[in-house]
Amino acid sequence: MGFTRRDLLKFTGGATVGLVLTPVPWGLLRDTALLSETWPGVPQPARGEVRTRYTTCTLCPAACGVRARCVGEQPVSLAGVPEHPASRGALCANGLVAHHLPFCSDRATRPLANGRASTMEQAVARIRTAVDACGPDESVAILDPRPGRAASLVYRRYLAGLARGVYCAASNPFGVDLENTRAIVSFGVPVLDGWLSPGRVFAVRSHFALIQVEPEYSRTASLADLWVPIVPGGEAAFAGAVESGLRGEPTDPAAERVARMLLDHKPAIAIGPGAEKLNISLGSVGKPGGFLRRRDVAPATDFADLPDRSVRVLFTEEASLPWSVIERKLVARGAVVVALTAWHDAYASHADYVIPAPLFLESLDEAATPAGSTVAGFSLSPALVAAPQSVIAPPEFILRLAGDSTTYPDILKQRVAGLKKDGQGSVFTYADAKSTRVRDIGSADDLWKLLLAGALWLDDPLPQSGSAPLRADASYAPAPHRSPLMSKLDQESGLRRV
Amino acid sequence: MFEEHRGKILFLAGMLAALTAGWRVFPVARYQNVAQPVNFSHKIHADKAGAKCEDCHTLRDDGTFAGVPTLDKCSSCHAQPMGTSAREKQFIDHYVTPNREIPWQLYVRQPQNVYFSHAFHVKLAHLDCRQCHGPQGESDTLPAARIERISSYSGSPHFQDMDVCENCHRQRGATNSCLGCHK
Repeated sequence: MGFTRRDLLKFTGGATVGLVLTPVPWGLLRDTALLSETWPGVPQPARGEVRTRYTTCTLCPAACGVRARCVGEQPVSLAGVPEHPASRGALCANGLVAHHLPFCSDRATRPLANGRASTMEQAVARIRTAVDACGPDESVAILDPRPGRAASLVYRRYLAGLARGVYCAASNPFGVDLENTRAIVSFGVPVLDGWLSPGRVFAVRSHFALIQVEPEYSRTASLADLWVPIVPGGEAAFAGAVESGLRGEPTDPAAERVARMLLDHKPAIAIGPGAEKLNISLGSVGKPGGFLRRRDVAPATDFADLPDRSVRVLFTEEASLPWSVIERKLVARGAVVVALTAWHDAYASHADYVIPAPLFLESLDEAATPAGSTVAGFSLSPALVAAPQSVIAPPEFILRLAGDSTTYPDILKQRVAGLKKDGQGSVFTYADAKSTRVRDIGSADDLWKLLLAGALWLDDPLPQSGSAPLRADASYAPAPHRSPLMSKLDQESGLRRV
Repeated sequence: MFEEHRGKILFLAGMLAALTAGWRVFPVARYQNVAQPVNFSHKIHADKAGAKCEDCHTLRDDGTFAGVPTLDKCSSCHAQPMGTSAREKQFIDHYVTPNREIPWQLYVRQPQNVYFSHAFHVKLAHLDCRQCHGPQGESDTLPAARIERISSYSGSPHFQDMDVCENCHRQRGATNSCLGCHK
């Protein structure tokens, strides 16, 4: 009897069972998984000398110091800078993986005009026409999410040259003396979830009592010393009740308890909507452990104060206000929104023109005063990777629109020269964690080189007075990421261990 | 007898063939051996030149590992032939004179998504080089590098297996968090 089909099936069946009991399937799985790391399209870090470079994160206003481990010219891992005055060696989850952002498929890489691909020249010409067509009761506005930068100066100059230009920003001239604060009552501000420089907050977390007043049992509420649930929109009413409690008047039991905690833990501050009057009652303005005035913030128009239906052309960077607020200010017909952004999200989805901006690590940029700092600050964020050719930094675009031949790096250099000329403050260098007085640095060029290599200039503290108007809110809080991966990274980023 | 149990015998024969192929042939066929371009002798350099491991395999000031030395290190002594052997002449002619880097095959190439710090393991954990690399420093010849045919990664499976790292970390009470190695 010959070898039949049935014999073949039985032999194959035996071979299949035997194969499962060998390393073959598992070895092939592993090898193909490793092979997938080198498929076309998968970024491959160059092999070469491992170097450390320093920069400052510009993803949010926290301006954390960044230590980049580079292989060749390519950053392969990012970490915090130990002893950095603002970030205290920590980075948030976004900062830790920022070197992966250039590979994100959702980024903007080419100019779009009404959703269609355009050239930069066409976009500039059309936007210039729209600006020129601005009527007598209409305005051209730039909404600056981070006032106080050299870019802000570019925006102001451009708008000053227009008949009806309005520079809009939520300027906040106060920093928080967090290191000396003993209690914080927060009205919905995510204090432990991205407020100010997260590393700084966690570094002093054990020194202050945290009272979280908000309707939702948020992550900050879950980690607070006391969570006070309130009805949505009830912040101002509860703040008023706490004020009554501070004066010793009978009030709501929860408010009385909060008032007692605040009196037991002085100095205390209140943050978030409804906190202004409470801070005056607490005497937390211009005092150690409270809100301290710093030097850098120039006055600006609050976007919410613009008349409704008055903005003909609006330039935006990152989203800093809800779109409904923006939309209310735009003229009913023919409004032009220009999103100077690196991402196809937020305002870009509503914008008539999308001008692609470089990402953090892709171009020389500036990080202004770290969020919540009690003194003015300045640091540079040098480019560590090449940007796509079609992107343009927002201030460069505005300079181009204005027909100004000055470059953004030139303006940054002028700013550094100004710092040297003033001779105030000191420079913290990331590589050796040393501080040097500005007047002890030889020249503006030397200061520029120091900042380019990774350094933070910090101003001297200003003399304080307690009578200044106060605006302390949650506008600095970046939107937290909620994915499990981000949470995992966040837990391991150093923030929880500081 | 054979006809009576024909099905079972064929099934077992297939199983045996697969087991033999899987355990004997696959582990060998999975890799290709690639000879090193220069037959370097650690023993000669240690005995005759008095070289120490740290002379060539250094940690930089920032803690990063310099790895395999570049040609500059070799040229500092071998600018001229050290002896009259054919191997020495070939080395000088092929690499030193044209100033061409030696294309060493790496024995242990980590996957791209893995960060490994020699400084942490040598300076903080006080691991001996031999614990991972074996007695390489006393060898007279360089063994061929084993390159995986599918993935093109080099090195023994022992080094690239995450279980090995995790087991050692567990035994020594070191952290096993993802970001410890994958950054």
